[in-house]
Amino acid sequence: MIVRVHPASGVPIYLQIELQVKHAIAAGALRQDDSLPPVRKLAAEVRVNPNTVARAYQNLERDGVIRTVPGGGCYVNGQSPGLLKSEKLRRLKPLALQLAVEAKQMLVAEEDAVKLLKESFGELGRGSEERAGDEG
Amino acid sequence: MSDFVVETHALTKRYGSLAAVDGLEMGVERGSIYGFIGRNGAGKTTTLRMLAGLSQATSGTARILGMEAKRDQVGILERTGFVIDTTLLPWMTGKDLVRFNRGFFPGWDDGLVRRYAEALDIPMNRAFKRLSQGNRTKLCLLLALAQNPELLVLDEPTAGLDPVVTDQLVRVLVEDFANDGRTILMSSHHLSEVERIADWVGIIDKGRLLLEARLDDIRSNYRRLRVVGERLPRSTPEALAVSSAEGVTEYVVKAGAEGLAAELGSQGAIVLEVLPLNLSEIFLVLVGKESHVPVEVLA
Amino acid sequence: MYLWKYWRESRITFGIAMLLLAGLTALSLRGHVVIGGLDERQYANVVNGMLYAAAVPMAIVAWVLGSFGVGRSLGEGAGSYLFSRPRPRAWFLWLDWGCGLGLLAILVLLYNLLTSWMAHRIMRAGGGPFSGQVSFRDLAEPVSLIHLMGLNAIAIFLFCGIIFGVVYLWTILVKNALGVVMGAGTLACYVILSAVIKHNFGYEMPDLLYRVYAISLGGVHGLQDHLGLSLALRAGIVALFPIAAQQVLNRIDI
Repeated sequence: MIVRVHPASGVPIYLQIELQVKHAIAAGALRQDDSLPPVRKLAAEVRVNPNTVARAYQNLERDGVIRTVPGGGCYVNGQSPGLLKSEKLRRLKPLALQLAVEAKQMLVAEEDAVKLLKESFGELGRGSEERAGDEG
Repeated sequence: MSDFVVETHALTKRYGSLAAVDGLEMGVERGSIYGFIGRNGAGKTTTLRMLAGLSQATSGTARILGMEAKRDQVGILERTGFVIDTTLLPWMTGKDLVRFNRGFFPGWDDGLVRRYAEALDIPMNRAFKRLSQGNRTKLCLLLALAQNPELLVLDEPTAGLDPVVTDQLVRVLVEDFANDGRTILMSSHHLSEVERIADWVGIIDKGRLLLEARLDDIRSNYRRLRVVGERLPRSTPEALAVSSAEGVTEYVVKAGAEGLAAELGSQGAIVLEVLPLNLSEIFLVLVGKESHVPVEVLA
Repeated sequence: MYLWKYWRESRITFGIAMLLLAGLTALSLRGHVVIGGLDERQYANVVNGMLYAAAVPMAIVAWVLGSFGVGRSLGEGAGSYLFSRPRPRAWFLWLDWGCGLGLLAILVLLYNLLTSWMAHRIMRAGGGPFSGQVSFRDLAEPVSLIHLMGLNAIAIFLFCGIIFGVVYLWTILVKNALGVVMGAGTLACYVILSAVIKHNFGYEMPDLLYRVYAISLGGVHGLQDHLGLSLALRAGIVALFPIAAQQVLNRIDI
């Protein structure tokens, strides 16, 4: 798994790792039941503090994105297992708000912002589509 | 309450009337990587030498692994790997140095010697005086690591090293050492390495600790507000520094940026930007020529 | 492992010293074979001569050996490394001092053994049995060769001990092997000062080299008064130097 971090960007490194993992899953680069490298190995490859990687993995597990197995090892979960749709939307709300705020600041029209959003989905490919069978 | 492997209280070192270290209050948590950063001559090396028992503090205390520096120094040295000066005995080869060093440490691990010699690509059969600076530093680090210490104290380990060697060192530190509750205290004025791997940073200037904070806290909560307006407050509770230039006032705050922005906005000021700060920027704010407001040490 | 370090640093000096003494012994052998048979009184002069003959090269060896150890390492910049090993600073110092004196003791002992053996041969070569005793002018009883050799050895050893101690202390004070220069200077000053005081005030300050035998222009007289006491005092003085060095070492910033 290739993870690139920008330590000087002002974004916490654990967050960058989390986002990249989520991005990889969303884009289909990581599939369900794929394994993530062990904490120390990823830390060594990326040259970051193992505590940072550990925190990222913890957060990902808390968010239900990955699971850890008792014998060690982290695996990618099926897309959003067991979360209510309402909970998912609740989590996305701040990001949506941020997009709206920025767009408004820059005097970008609503439909242009929505178009941007659609394009982003398009870039990610089919992995982002809602699956039938999610709890409503 | 955290377990501190290194803590100093009012640690001071004077040379005549000059205080190289002036009332230093510092705490390094177990299991963390602590980046001790400052300009040349800020007091980093002086501090670390006091921790190693090489220098005597003028006043104040320093405790390492619960033991008092200088007084219990042998106990400290058994469990801590110090790399203060990258000068070893000139006629000895790497192999000789391993043989020499081994006898001092019951926990010595020759397996680690082999592993690091290979990982760092160190010529072990060449006399120390004939080694390049990069190889010297790597050898010093190897000796400290093979000792199996709980705490590693490194004084500017990447000084004078090219990017390839620096990368090798960083890799070895994070892959092999940093885990299982082991701690690294390293001083540097190369911020990029510190920014990659440190949990905590302590910024020292003129012998005083200006800031001690989690790096993630700096990333998540520290913000720079650029504001235009009349009669703006000269300081706010959370501000680390306030400065004005060309009609724009800048507040560097350690928390509550949103709240401050809202408050200033409600007073009629225009908030131009709320920007995150990286380590380099915080460092320059506190230590560079642009800082105006005296700053406090954080917990 | 520290002993190994000291040996590796000093072995060349030790080797040269051994060669020197071997050479000196060979020279002495040649010199005295020429002289031929001696009576036991003349023999005392010869033995005394040999004492001084050894003192000079041994002094040089002691002087050089004093440059090894902590002071040298400090000068090489390895102080931070050495004193961040888990040992009290004094540990390094006493090992240095012990090793240095140990090597000196070996050299002194070997020389004296060799000399005595040669002397024995010379006396035998002169014809007639050698009683193994040496007579001094104003001693009623002759002194055995072994006894004499032992006293020689102790005297030279203490002499070297003082030189070594002074030089080693200086290497700690200046944090450099070049402390040997200061050490030599100090010893030279002492010698000059003693001569000046003796010349002007008639008072004799203790010699660096303890002369086991009372010597005057007429030859060797007998053993010095209060032999045991003097030797013990000197041994005490020799030990003062490393103790002083320890006080210095414990207080300095490395």
